Amino acid sequence: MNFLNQALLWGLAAVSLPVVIHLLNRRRFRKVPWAAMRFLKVSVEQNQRRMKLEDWILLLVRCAMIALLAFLMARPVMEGLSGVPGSKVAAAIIVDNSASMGTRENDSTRLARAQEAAHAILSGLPGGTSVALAGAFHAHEASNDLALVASRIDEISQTDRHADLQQSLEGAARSLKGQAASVKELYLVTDAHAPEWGNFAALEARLREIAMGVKVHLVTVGAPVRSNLGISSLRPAVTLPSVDQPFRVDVDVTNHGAVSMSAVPVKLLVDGQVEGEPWIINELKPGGSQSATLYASLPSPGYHRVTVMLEGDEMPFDDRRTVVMNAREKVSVLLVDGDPGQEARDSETFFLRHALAPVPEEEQADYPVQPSIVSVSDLGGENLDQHHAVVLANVADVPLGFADRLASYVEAGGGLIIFAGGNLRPESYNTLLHRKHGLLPITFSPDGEAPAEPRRAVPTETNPLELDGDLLAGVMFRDALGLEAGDGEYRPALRYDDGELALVESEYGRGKVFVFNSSADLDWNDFAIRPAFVPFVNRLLGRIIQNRENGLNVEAGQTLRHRASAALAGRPATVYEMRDPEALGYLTTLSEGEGSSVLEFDRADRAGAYQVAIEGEAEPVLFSVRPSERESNPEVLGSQQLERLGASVELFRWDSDSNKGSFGKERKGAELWWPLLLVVIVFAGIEIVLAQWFSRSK
Amino acid sequence: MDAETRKLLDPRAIARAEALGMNARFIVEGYMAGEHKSPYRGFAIEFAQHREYAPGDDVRHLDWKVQAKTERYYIKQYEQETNFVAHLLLDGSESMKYGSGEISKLEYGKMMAACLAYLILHQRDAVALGIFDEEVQEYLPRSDNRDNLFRIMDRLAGFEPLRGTRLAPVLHGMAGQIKRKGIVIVISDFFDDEEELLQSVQHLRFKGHEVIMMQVLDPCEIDFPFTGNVEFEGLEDLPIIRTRPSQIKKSYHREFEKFRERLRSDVERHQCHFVGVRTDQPLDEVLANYLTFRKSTAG
Repeated sequence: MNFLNQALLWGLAAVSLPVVIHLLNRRRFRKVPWAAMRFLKVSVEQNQRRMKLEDWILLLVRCAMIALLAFLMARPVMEGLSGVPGSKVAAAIIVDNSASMGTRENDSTRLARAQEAAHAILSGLPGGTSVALAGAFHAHEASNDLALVASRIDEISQTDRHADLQQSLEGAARSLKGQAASVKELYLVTDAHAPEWGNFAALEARLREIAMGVKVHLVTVGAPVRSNLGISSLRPAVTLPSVDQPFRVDVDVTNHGAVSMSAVPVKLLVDGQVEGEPWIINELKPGGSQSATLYASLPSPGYHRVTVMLEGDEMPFDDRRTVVMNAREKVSVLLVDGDPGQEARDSETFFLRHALAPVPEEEQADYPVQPSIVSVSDLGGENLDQHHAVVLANVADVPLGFADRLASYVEAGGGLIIFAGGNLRPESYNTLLHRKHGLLPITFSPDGEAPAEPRRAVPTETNPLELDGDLLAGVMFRDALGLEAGDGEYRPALRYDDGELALVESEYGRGKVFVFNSSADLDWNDFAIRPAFVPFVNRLLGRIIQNRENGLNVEAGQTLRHRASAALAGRPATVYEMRDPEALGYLTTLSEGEGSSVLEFDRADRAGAYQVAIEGEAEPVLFSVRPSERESNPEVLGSQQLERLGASVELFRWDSDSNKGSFGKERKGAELWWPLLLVVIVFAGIEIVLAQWFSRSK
Repeated sequence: MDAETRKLLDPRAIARAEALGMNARFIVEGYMAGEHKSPYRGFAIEFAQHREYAPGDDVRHLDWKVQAKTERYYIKQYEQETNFVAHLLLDGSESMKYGSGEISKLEYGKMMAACLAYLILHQRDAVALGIFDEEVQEYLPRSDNRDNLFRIMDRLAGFEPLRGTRLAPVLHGMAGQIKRKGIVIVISDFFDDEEELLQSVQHLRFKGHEVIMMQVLDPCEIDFPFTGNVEFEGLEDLPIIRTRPSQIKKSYHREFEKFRERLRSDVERHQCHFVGVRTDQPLDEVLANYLTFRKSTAG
């Protein structure tokens, strides 16, 4: 015999209550002085034995009644007994809706089969059963309304996410633990897709634990997959996407299936329109990968969807991948020259300007990056908001008013790059940009001395600029200002070979800041005339521009975080899935972030493009979601693994024709609270009658 | 000034005694006003002798037979007009302290004794008062002087019970002590040994006394209306009894009624009067009922 509310067995201690009350009553007497004692004495002597006996009988009845009540509330369950009214079943049904469940099977999908199985499970449950239904990612509250649960089963939709089944099982086990029922059942309806079982041994052990108090059923659906080609990578090779500037798109396709695939066309689409000729994969053997380069261009400024797709296998979720790109007509960069020199070639910004626009003079007007050079004295009349980035090149002092404008500009999403040099006065930067505004996460050392030997720069482990270490190896750095960690957070991007910081990256509001402690000209290094300089400068700029689009491409299930202007905080926004224009949008609200507003969206379960319409903003924001790469492996649990699981859980291969109505046949176990309640009522009646009978005058 | 005199002059004692006297007078005169006849004729009604008529005598008492024989007017004189002695014996034991309402049995008994003393002295008969528990604690020898009334009241008012009851030795003692035949009125709850009590009553009867036993009981002693858990504390150093009265009520009633009936029948068997009184009964009503009863039985 088990108890559903075992803790309430402590209520048995309440049996002592009638005894305590009886004892207390025996001590609590109203005192009456009395003269006619002899008659009283005779009467008491005549009745004493009877009164004692009556007291004992009443006490026993009351104690028994309370003991039965405590027993009843602990909800005893007799195993192997069935047909007792009032017995309850609690069930949890997990329907796996991870990406692999979208695998095609004839005219159906694995998910559709799983939903059929879930309906069959539901129909096998007795009325009044409390059912907690969950997908692989979202769980519903337990409900006794089986019709509602049935409609929720139909609402479970396919995702392109990777499921963590252990997490789903824990949630279901928790839900069942919180319910009081004589029979607890957990159904996991899944395709037994091996990647979702992760650490099989750990999951098996956990299932065994859960199965100690819960009847666990593993219901498997789906046949083994033979063919699965998947787009394993889609990389637009452009730092600054610009209008009508063709760019390269690198695509990797992998054969995850068990058969060779041949003559598979891979198409590239921009905003749904096919671009160019498809790439035909002649033959791809199982486990093999092929890469191809496709070309695309963005037709207009703003957000565009660049999609690569293929067709013809059983697992469709990884056959299509989209990235969102924001095309800009022109990127304007303001170069502030702190050391103009006598001739153009001597100026501090000479190499920077050419690195940013590495085209002949006559083509510069059409080039997407438009650098403009000003001296410090001309900064007063410059409207910073017109520029995507500001570069301070060996500027001695930051003018007070300019420092304030610069901080506001970066906070609103602008970019700042600082190159050091012999003119730069550390105290001015440290005071205004570090201490006053916190714009610089580090400080410059005031008394830096040139190293004895020239140094080389190496990318850090994270290498956020994806710099080529070999190219950098040829650059000699003779001098640099020292950088010291300050109050702000930063990421090192480059270090010298002696470990000293060379380049740090940090965020400020919606903007980004780079601090490079060597010069942009040839005074302290020969970087500007090395091949590494042009990609270095362009990637700095690319990082600044991309910073605004950070989070526009996420994996299914990840939370989208998009930073927008601080003025939009509190505005409602609607997120639409673009491939299904009929689908309802998700409503959300932009929250207040540090110097910006933040849109967070955690319901991106399907791969593809999503559009975010923010109230009051004319242009919608696009972002893309890629399917989980871990789902592409079609492997399912082997027979040996299933056999091991069968030791602790009930295995069920779902076949809609043959095993409909099979669920729940073996259900046994009955609650005894109903018969116990009747006994308690009978005892209560006996107590009332006896109390009346015994207290009558005799 | 001796202690007795001091006690008499004690303003509180005087006030108490006067209050008792006033109450007794109020009760008796109230009764008399309603009756319009001499109430105290009821106590001794035997013919005694003739006396020559004198102006002012009640013509109703003229003996017309003697007048017819002797042509002289004679008035019939009855024993009542002779000085009879009433011995008022009040039980002042601790059991008489019990009172569920405003008045205890002892207070009721005191009032009753005071009323009777007033009545008797008012008809110029003699009254002796004894207050007893295990023995006689207060005794005022017989006197027909109305001025003695205040002393009676004072003794009654000032008495406080301290001991248990032993009726039989007291009554035996009184039987031996009282020389002249009289009326012995015992006011008590008679919670004592019944057999011994009856022997002592028999002793009084043997000595020629008329015995009137007035049993004073509290309503709660008769009705036993208690509920819940009650600890009964014996008033005469008896051990406490804890019980639930509602569960023994019938049994108690049975025992108590048996006692009262036994006492009544035994007392009446010895040609004594037995009067049962509840302390919630108006005293004038009790006295009037009893005196009316006596008058009717005297013929």
